[in-house]
Amino acid sequence: MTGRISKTRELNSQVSTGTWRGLLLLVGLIALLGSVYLGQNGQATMTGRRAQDLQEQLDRIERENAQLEVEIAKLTLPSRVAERGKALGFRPATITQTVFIVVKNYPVDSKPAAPPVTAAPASSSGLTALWNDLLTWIGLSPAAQTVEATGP
Amino acid sequence: MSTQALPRAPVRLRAALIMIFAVGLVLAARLFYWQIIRWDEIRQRADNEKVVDTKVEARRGSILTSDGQLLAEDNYLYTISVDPRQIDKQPDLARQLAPILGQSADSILTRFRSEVPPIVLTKDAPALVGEAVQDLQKQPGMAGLAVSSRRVRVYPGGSFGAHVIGFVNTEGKAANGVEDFQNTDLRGVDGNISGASDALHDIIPFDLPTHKPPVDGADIYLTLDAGMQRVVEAELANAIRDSRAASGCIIVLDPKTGAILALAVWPTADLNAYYANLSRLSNPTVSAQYEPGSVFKIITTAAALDAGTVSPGTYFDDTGSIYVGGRLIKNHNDIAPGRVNLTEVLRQSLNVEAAKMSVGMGAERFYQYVRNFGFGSLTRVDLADEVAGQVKSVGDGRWRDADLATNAFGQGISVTPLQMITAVAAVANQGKLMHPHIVKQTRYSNGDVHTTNPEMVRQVIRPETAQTLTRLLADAIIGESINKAVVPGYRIAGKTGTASIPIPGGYDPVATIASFAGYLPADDPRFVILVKLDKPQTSEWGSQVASPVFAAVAKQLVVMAGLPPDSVRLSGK
Repeated sequence: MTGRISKTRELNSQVSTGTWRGLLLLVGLIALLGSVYLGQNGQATMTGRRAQDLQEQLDRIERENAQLEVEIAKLTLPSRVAERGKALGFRPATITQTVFIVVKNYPVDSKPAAPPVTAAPASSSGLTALWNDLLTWIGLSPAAQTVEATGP
Repeated sequence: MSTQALPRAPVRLRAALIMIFAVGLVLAARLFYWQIIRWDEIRQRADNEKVVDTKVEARRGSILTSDGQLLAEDNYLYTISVDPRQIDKQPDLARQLAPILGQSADSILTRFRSEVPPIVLTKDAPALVGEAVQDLQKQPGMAGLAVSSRRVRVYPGGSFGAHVIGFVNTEGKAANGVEDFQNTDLRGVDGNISGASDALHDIIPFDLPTHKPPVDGADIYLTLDAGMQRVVEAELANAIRDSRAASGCIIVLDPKTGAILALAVWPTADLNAYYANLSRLSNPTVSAQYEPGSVFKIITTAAALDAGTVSPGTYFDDTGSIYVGGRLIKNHNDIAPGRVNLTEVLRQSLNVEAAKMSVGMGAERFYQYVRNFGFGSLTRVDLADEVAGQVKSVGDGRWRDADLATNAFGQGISVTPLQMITAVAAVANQGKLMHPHIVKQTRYSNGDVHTTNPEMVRQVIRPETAQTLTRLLADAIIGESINKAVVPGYRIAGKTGTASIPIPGGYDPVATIASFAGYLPADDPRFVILVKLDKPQTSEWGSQVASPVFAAVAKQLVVMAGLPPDSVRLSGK
């Protein structure tokens, strides 16, 4: 009888240990899954927040850009430029004031004229050269002089 | 006792079990019904509560001239209001708002204390102001500062190119011009963003929201040249002022491509305030028809020359009048010049000889040419609300024999200004009728670019006919010692028109439509220009009021285009 009881207790103990281990494993698994889920969710939230911020920044820049474009368009309106030119003493050129020079054998239908080329100033003072070198060194090109391409 | 109780217990237990099972079954059935069968609907209802779906409007494309001058663009205007009761430090806010709004801090503070909230500090402020105030909102204690924005269509030029552009109203509906005709490309496709929302239905970044980005509208580059458009608008305004005309229009077309380089209409209006002047913003160059008068003799002469019924050497005996279909046709001012050649017919704009030419060709051939030149049908220009004009046909019930004669000098036939200039451009372009167009390029947001290629509709007259007619038209202008259309240094071809205005029961006895259609340089035309002035007061004649406008425009266009005088240009050939 006593032997049977002790065997039952041993069995119960074994079952209980197994159950506890299983339960622990389950809890551990749930905790792991939970932490993975929460981590993912947190990451997604962070990314979502960042995406929202970037979108807001983009919208803002686009809106400001649109406003600036409109302002530039207003300032460069031909009628406004003409008025400003007139105020500064300019007058529209007339046919009689326009001088056309005939260039013999000018290749009208050949390749398009070469674009304006940039060249370094032909002569510059030592100070100017130093200044230009400095600008180049900090990543800004010195003011280039545009030279019109000459025709043939 | 126990032996009696035992048999009853399982029965009760069974009954209880059956009841529990039955209830469970009912619950399971209900669960199945709600969770499986009506899952979609329930899910939808739940989502509606917590998920917000916000439309993300596509940016409407911009409209620009061929040289990049911005004509129309979407913009945002901001309204800034304050509820001072929800502001922690009012003097601080007033001090920070002052430089942004361009108001004094004291005046803002005074308003905080004297006005009933919410206080609207500014309306329709530009983006830079609105965004700066939005930055202030992020500071603590600024719950009472509100910024709201609305999208508006802005036209930086005001009335510049108004009739070409059209407008978009406050409901976002496009009307007139390119805005309407190109609406599908311009408007883009709205997107949406959906995700979990807070109590105010603002999306919270709990999860990555579902985002269907909008497809922005395409930017449209027009064939209009900003500089030429300015010249044309300025000269039209001058012409209206000088001639005291009721209205008018000028179109400049490139005859080789059909590209509209400039198009001005008077009266005009500021597109930003379209609602105040709706009637002024319809485009009569495509949507209104008129009787062209003697300008139409270009078409009649072209047809007769091409049909071979007349030639440059043909002489006419003009007695000043002729009966056609029982109707007396007379020259203007009742002149009877006698023996004249074709150049004189054009120079003196003789109605009688024009009538003889159409009658000589026969109705069928004449109307075939008229239709081939594009009259009576849409030009298919890319502008909204185009009408086809009215050309009667033999046997259509409205046509009378006399119409053959009157149509020859532009009476009894209705055309749009664009049809008229397109037909004249065909003569300038070796007889090739080009499809007129205003859109040069469409630049889609995905980087695709569609460029409009010149499209020939048909060869209307032979190139030799076109050259002959050009020579005759140019000679007719040179032959006139005081022709006001002359552009010094350039040989021009063209024709004046003075048309009567039909009114119920006949024609207006006083008012006329004065016009001039011409092109230059005559040997290799770069510009075709149509000037049309309605009801001028200083003179009824096209030669007096429209021709000088043609010359004024042409003189500036040749300088702008760098087009040398004939003597220079032809010296190298």
